[in-house]
Amino acid sequence: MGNRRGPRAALTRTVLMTRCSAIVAAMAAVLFLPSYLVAGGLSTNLGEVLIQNLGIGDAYCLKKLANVTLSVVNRGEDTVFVKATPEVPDSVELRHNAEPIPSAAWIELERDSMVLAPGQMGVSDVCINVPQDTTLRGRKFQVMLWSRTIPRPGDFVACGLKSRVLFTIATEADSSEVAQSSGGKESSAKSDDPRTRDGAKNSERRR
Amino acid sequence: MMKRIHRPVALLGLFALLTLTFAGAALAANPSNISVTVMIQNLSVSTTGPIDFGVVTAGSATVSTGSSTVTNDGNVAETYSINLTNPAGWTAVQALPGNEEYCLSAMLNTAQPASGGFTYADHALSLVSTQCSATKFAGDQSGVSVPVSAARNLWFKFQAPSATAVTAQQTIVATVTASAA
Repeated sequence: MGNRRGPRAALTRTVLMTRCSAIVAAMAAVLFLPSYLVAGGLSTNLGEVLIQNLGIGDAYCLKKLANVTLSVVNRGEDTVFVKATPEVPDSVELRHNAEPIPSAAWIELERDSMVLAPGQMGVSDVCINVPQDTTLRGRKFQVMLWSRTIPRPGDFVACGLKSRVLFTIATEADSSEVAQSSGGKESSAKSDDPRTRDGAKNSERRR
Repeated sequence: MMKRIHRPVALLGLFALLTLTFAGAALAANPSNISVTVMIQNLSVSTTGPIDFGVVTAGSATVSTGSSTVTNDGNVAETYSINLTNPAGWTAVQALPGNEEYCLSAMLNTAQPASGGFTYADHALSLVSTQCSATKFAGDQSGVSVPVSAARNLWFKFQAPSATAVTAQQTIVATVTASAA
């Protein structure tokens, strides 16, 4: 009995649900209606950065390396929650003959979320952990750092920025040079020129 | 007498200083042949709202009557990417929506586009941040290499579920992301 009623009852329920859904859908309000009329905006100082000659099996943080950080400014009129994550780039996002980073897990952000008041700047260090893998030598990789506002209830359009981080892995010869010279070069990677922090040039100047 | 007391202390201090210095250098591992070049510095984008579709019937398609203005207020040309976030209970599709499914499309255009101007292939949004191209999200404007200070009008088309049990107001968030062109 129950078996005979089962399919029939289920069919009846389906028909009723479909009718109800259609009626409900007709009444459903699909409103993208924020309670305010504001412009949201984000800006960053890190549009694109290139780091050259990283060694395999090493970890590098851009702040220590060259006083470069991921800085995000809320240019909107309300406090926003900003989330930042490393992303493997899509093929159309690749530049300068780089290949996509094999894993976004190579990248570590000191702060992956921040609450920013209007005009406030949030800062995060960016660290690159290069695996101990000799097949990486001589290759150029790209990772995107995606900073975006997390919308509050009622928000419709959110803003985001993708910072492009490119880095090259030193060849074998460079790596041995790195191993021999990896002492006391911390300050050599800093420059007075805000656009270019070239460790090699500066260390040569000091010599 | 004073020298005998102070000399070991001074040596110890020097040793400690050298130890700390070398320990720090080993951890930092910043060899002199690494170079860091910040090639593009100021990336910035702003958007305006709101977009209101009002009450929508099941299975219908509606083009927004207003647009969101997306402005490149950085100092380099920018290319935009767009994605969406699903509201609870609904799933975005890039085809004709079924039950509890919807399709939100986006187009960069000067004036309100006709509903038939949107195509699933070029304008339907997904959860994945998808970069604009000459055709992707393009109308008579494009989100590729947008010059500094230039504004784009972003229009939306909403295709409602063929049927839904959701009665509450739904908000779908579209995120416009800028990257250096």
